[in-house]
Amino acid sequence: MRYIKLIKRLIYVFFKTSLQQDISFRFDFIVRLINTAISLAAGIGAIAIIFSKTHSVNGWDFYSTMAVTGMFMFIQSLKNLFIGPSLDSIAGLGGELWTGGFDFTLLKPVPTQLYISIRNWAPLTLIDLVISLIVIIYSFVHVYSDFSINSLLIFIIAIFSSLIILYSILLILSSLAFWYLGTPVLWIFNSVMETGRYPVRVYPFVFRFILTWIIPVGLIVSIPAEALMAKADVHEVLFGLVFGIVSYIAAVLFFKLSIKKYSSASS
Amino acid sequence: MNFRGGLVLIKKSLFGFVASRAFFWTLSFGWMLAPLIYMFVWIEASGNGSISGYTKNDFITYYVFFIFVNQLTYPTSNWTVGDNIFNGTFSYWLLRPIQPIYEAIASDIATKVVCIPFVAVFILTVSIIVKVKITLIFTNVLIFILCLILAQILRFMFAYSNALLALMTNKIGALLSINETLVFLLAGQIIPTDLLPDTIRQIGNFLPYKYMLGFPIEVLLGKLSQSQLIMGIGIQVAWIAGVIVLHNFIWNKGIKHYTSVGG
Repeated sequence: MRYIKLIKRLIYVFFKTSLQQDISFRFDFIVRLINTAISLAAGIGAIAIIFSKTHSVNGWDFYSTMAVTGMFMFIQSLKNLFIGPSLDSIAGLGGELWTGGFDFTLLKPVPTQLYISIRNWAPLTLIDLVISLIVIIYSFVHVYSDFSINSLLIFIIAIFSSLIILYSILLILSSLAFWYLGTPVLWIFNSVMETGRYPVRVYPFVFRFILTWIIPVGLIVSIPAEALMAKADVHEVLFGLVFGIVSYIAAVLFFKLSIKKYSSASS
Repeated sequence: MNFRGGLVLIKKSLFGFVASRAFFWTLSFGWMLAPLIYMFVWIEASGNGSISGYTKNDFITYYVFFIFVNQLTYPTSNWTVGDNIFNGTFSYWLLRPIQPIYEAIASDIATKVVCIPFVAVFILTVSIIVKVKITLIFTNVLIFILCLILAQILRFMFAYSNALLALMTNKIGALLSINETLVFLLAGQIIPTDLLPDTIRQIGNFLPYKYMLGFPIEVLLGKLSQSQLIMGIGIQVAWIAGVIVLHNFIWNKGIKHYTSVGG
């Protein structure tokens, strides 16, 4: 119980300081609001343009593709809200592992993994989050499906495992920076994540294989979207859950192991 | 103007970048993957028929060249310039007896050279996987090279001028992102520009974005009539002139406004 209280208070403080940092550059703040609008227009516009030329892509129509894009935006904005910027401040370019600032992070009287997962926020991303929810609901209303309590349950499991998988992968990739500081592996993952914008089934076989098994964008984006439209295979969803739990345990162990590897750095 | 200094700077950046090439390969992987996604979507959408005159093979050829042209025109230094103005490193550039734009040009050229092997392997692999069939006409290739160089100048100068706005506003990242989104939407990444819906296409014809990327590819594939070609190059040159004027304006205003941060 005290632990949860601590998390709440930490989140409050970190969120507040991040917001203060953000709004202190007014011009950039306003332009970022415009940027959000334009990115949304581009995302939806892309689908609209594709489906103005064709009726279905591999069995996916306009609204169900939009549901996938909405789900992609939702997960992406959750990631960009805090997990992304927080982990980036360590393993990212010029992050604490490069500068040696991780010394201070280790000394903080808070569990390190918790601290590095929630300490940086991008408050403006909340707008993206709301927009993505609107897109999901809008497309959900248009896709005819018999949605029941059962499918709701499956959907909740799917989205839960998707978030766990995403977090575990990000944690593992950030931990890699302890071993090999050079390539920003997180960036590679971010580029590959972009493929989640469209249903994974659209891609040719080799890529579909990679996106399902090696970098599980399919599990992270496509399956929750399918579950929402009550199209998901229950076995796939349960497999996702198991995969999520296993990868979470692996990620935590790997992170602990990697911390031991840390040998400081300084100017 | 100090060309010899500029050349030395390019060499310096190149050596520095070669040392950390894995980093740049990671970057370019992202740039190449995005158009690839759309290639797959269009391959799937066109199936065995054609969409507004584009067959499956047309889309494949278009996107293979798109990846190539995008790679050659993609500016990176604008982000560095924006960051450097924000954190104060820009002051060092100003102290040198050479214009800061050389620093940007040098790092852009160096980035492209460093990425060549990786890009070549990537494009080759993709071409083999999707089984590309290309037929080109010699004159088109010549005009393409001209348009490509113009596109490079336009895209670089446009992004660089945007970044210089940071001299007045300190932080500029968001504006640079908007620029990228518009390129992505209007320059032919989602769909070849002549397949865009009518209104958007007509507006796009007069905006600079198409001439940074989509236009040279259409020239190469011979999709344009002679009058379209001449008009396109005209607009391209006009935008370059416009952007250079804009750049000078922002530079003169901004440099008076600039106050260094950090230390």
